[in-house]
Amino acid sequence: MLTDEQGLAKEDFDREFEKALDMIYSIGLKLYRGNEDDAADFAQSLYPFALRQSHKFSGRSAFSTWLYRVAWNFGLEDLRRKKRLVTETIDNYEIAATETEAEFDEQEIADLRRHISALPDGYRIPLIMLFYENMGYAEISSLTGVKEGTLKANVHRAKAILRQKMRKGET
Amino acid sequence: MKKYSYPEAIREAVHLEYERKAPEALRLRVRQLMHLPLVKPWQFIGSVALLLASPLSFYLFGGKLVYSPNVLLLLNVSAGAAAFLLIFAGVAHRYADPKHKAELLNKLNALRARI
Repeated sequence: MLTDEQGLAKEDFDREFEKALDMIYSIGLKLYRGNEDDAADFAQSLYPFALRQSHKFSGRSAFSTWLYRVAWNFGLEDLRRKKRLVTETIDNYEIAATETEAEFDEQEIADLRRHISALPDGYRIPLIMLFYENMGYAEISSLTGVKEGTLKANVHRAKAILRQKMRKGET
Repeated sequence: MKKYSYPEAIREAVHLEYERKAPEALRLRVRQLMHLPLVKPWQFIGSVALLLASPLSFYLFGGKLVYSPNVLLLLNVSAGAAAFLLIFAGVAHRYADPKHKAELLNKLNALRARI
């Protein structure tokens, strides 16, 4: 049994984990390209891992914030183990300053959704973290272990791939 | 009518693709996990040591003490249970690691394909 000397009591941890399950499942879907079985396995394996780590929860932030970070760390580590996450480092990559930002309608969003799913993990995950999770490059870098320069390059490439696919109208 | 900028479109696409509620089956599985008692390593080692204590006493003092058939049966069962626990814990520990779990699944899939 988990001792209550530090962190959260087991009952409180269970209650909070259950409340955060939708969020955890969504992180799993993002990490594992929408595969529901993998996302469910991820959520299930996260429970004992987070429970073991729960003594590190200091209470300075909301528990859900702490769990959110633990979940991303745990999932990214799994992807790294499976060698699915590109972690090569590229320094001094120059990002094009003048990018023409396209605009999209509802139908194009459906296509974009498919194209994002098809991106390699090394491009797709930073893109999701940046635009959807509203993380900064520094935070993404600390979570993924990928240098900021590489992340910027990968996000830039991801956008370029998406733009190209959208232009071609690939299905 | 174009109404989404690039970041907005990505946000919307990601939301549609990946934001879903956890299925009820997962909720149940996690609840089941929550009810499993979590044993610390020293507790596990302690229980195995207790299980091994009886057969060990038989090994050490078997020549000096006289055991009834019922006690002998109990000693055998406890030694078997201890061995099973050790093997089970070893296997469970190994495949709790996602990397090893993935390797096992790959091997099983390869075996299935060969059959």
